[in-house]
Amino acid sequence: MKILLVIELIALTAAAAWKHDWFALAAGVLIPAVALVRVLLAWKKERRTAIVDVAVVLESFLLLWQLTTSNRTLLDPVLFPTPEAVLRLFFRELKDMLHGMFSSLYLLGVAYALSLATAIPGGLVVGSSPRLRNAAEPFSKVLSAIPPIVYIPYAIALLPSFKAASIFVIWSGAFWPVFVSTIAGVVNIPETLLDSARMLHLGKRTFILRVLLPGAMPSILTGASLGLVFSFLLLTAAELIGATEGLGWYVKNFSDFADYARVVVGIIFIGIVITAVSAAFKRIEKRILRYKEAVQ
Amino acid sequence: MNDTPLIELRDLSFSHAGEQTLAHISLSVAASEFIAIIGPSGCGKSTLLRLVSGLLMPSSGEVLVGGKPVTGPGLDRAMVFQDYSLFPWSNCQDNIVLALEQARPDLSRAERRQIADDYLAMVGLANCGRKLPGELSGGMRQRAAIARALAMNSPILLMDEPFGALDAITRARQQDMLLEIWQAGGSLKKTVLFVTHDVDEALILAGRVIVLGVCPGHVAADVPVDLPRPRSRGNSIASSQFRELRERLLHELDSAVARQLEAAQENQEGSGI
Repeated sequence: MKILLVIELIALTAAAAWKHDWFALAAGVLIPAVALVRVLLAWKKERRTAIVDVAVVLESFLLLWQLTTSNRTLLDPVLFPTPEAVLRLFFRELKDMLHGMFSSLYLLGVAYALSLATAIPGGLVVGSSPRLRNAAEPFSKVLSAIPPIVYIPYAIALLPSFKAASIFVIWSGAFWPVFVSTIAGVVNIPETLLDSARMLHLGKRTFILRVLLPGAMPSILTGASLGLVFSFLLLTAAELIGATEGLGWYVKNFSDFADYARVVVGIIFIGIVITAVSAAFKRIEKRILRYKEAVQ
Repeated sequence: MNDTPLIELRDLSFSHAGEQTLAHISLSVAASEFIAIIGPSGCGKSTLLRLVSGLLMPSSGEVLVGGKPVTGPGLDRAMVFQDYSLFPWSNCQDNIVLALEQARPDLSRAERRQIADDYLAMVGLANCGRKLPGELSGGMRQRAAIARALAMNSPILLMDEPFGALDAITRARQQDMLLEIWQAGGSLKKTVLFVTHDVDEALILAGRVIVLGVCPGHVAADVPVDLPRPRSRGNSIASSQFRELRERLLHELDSAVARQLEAAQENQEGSGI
C-alpha cells in the first residue's frame, strides 16, 4: 500500500508540475505529509495501516477527480468542477454556508429537542404501564411506519410558516424512534432491578427519574441517534422544498441556477456538518453510558 | 416486645399459572429471630420471601407483619437479592442515599451521605463509596447491597440467597460479617428471614431452620438451632451438635427431593399413556 501511495504521489506531483497546477501540487504533497505525520504519531500497527489506507483512497479519489476534470473535453466542466475550483469556492462561500448552517441547526435543534422532550417522558410513562403499552402499540406501529417526508407538503399548507412546518415534520420524524426505543428500554429493565426499586419504596417521581430513566437510557440513546439521522434527512428535505435559507436551500438554490460547483461545495459542507454533529452526539452518548465500561 | 409474633403467615397458599407453588404455610416469627429457610430448588422458598416482602400477593391466606396484613412492599422490610440489585448507573454511596431519601426523609443530604459511608464502612467497603457497582467484585457488590438494606433501618431483613453466587471463601467471609453485624445489634437485633439452599450456611447463621418440602411447597420441618451465641463459622462448624443438626437437615432435604422425584415420575406415567 505504501508503494501505491508513493507512485500516486509521484504521478500527481509530476502531472501537476507539468501543468503548473499548484492546487494538485499542494494536495499531492499535503495529504501524504499529513498521513506520514499521523503514522509517526500512531501507536498501534492497525491504526498506522488504517491511516495509510485512508490516505491512499483519498489520494486516488483526488487524482482521478483531477485527471478527469482538468482535461476539459472529457467531462462537461459545468457539471464536473475541478477539485481546485471546489476548494477555492469552499473558502469563498464559507461565510454564507455558516449562515445557512446556523439557520438549519436552529430548526433542527428546536425540533429535535421538542421530540426528545415529548418522546422520552411519554415513553417512560407508557412503558411502565402494560395497559398503556397495549393501547399505544397499534398507533405507534401505524404512525411510525409513515415516512414523515410525505407530511412535508401538507404541513407547509397547514401551518402558518415554513419554520413551523419543518419543525413539525422533523419532530414527527424523530419522535417515533425515540418513543418506541424508550418503551423498549423500560420493558427491558431487569426484573430484579425493578423489584429492588420497589423494596426501596421510592416515590413515583423518584422511581421514574432515578430508576426508569437511567435504566432505559442505553435504549433511549440508540433511538435518539436514529432520530438524529432522521432529523437531518427531514431537515434537508424540507429545506429543499420550501425554505429561503439553510443548508438544503443552499444546494437547491444553486442547482436552480445550474451552478453545480456551489452545489458540490454545499454537499461537502453538509457532509462535514452532519459528521461533526454525529461525532458530538457519540461523545455525549459515551459519557452518559460511562458506567457500562466499568463492568468487570 | 410482647409475645405477639412480628411476622405471621396464616394458612398461606400461592398459585401461579395454574400451578400451586406453596400450600397452607403457617409460620410465626418472633422479633429478633434469625430464621433460615432451606429447601430443594423449586420448593418456593424465594416465593415465600417475596410474599413476606409484598412483591407478591398470596392466592389465599395472609401475611401479617406487626399484626397488620401486608399489602405491598413497606419500609419496615428491607431486602437483599441474590444479585443485580444495586443500580449500575449510580455509585455505591448514591445507591444508599437514594434508598434513604424515602426511608429517612427527615435527614439532610449530608447526613444521608454520612450514613451511607458509615454502613459501607460497616461491611468493609470504607473507601468504595465513589465506586460504581460494575467496578466491584461480586462479593463486594453483595456487601454494598447489604449495606443499603441495613441503612434503611428496617426492623426486618429479608435475604434471598444473598451469597448464592459467590465462591466458597468469599461466602464464608460474608457469613461471618453478617453474623457479626447481626449479633452486634444487642437487644435491637433485626429479624432476619434468610433463604438459602446451603445447609451449612443455614446452621451457621440461624437460630431456627425451616425446611420446605416440595409439590407443593410446605413446611416439612421446623428445626431449632441451639448452637451457642455469639457464634462464628469457626466456633460452630466443628462441634458435634453442628454435625448432628446437619445430618438431620440433610435427611429432611433428601426425603423432600425423593418425594419430588416420585411425584415427577407419577406425573410422567399418568400423562405418558
